[in-house]
Amino acid sequence: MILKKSVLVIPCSGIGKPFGSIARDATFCVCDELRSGKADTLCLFLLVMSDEEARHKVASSKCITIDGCPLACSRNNIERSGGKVAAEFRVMDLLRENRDLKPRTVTFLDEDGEKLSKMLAEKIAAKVDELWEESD
Amino acid sequence: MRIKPKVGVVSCSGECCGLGTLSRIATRLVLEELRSSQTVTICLPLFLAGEAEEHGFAKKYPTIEVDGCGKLCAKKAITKYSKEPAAGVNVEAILKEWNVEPPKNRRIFDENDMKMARRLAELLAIKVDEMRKAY
Amino acid sequence: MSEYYEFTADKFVFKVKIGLLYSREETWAQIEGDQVRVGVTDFAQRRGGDIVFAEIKPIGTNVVSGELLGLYETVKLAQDILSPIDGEIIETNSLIISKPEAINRDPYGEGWVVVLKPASSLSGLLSADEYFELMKIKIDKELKTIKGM
Repeated sequence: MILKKSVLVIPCSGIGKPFGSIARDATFCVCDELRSGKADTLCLFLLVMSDEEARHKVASSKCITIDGCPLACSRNNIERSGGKVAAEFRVMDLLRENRDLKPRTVTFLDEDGEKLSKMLAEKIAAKVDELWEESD
Repeated sequence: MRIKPKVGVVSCSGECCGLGTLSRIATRLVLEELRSSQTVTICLPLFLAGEAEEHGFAKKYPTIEVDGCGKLCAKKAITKYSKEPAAGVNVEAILKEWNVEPPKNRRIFDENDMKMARRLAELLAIKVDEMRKAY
Repeated sequence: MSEYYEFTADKFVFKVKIGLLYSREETWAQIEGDQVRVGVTDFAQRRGGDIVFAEIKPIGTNVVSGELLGLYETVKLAQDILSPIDGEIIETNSLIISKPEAINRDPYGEGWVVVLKPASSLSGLLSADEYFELMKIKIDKELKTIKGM
């Protein structure tokens, strides 16, 4: 039996805006609950600081980046470290689809932040399934 | 009257475990509640992506790094791309000193985890005060 | 020689592009022959945060100074974009509709909002020097408000 590699879901985890917290929360939701065993995450900073284990993981896995804002730190840092991004999500895009939601808090998600995180997690989970099916 | 600079606080946000979340929450408590007008957040992903303002601030003003574990990503990043932080905290080592277990869940914190975060935030706040006194 | 006047508050660097004219309502105006290009200042876009939506009045709309040209929305606020002069909208920037972050990324360049055919003088607008001084006062006020002074 061949064991499939987990799909890596890597959030930006930006600490200055609610979007970074939403990206992070959605990632944990996917990796720990919705697709536990199929999806994994890693510390973006470890990768950028050239940690060997992190580099190897990224090089040998399909990566989904989750960025809070258009600055796209997760995607940019993954690409800069030699990783290939199989899919990307941005919290801001989800905000555009849900104009009535206004997440304001960073430390802990408010009600709108939680709603967005849940929606985002479901989208990421669906993409994990897709990439999982594609992998040999 | 000499104007004291703000202190930049840089947290790792290590997704691997609860220590990263603890670092992040403690940092945010300092920034939002305990020392809101004396501190500035340095967003590490932005910093690593080369954002000029994050780099500019870290080069000019004192910083405190808050690292979840002994890998010290925040410290290494700040040192590599600007200058060594003026102070730092290794959360894993501190928890060992305090003889407390790290948070079990990286997403949801219980009452004990929050007590730990507040205690850590108080420690960081003292470090901020010390750094500002030195100026 | 720099294209901008710069003012640093905490880690933020606020820019004022030299050579443009400015309104007190945080729009800039660039004379281009017999047309005027209008956009939002760096200070204004920073104050709101990441822009999620932008709307612009259509081509052909006549506005007077201080009237609505459009608006942008962030999670913190919905901000009107007010015309610095009287005129007719002859061009709108579709980029900021599809990618409103262009205003955040490049408020004096690709984040422009409209081009006007002016129907009034620009003499009431501030020079870059004058606006720079005004901006510093505004920043100082905002910081004092945040600190509760």
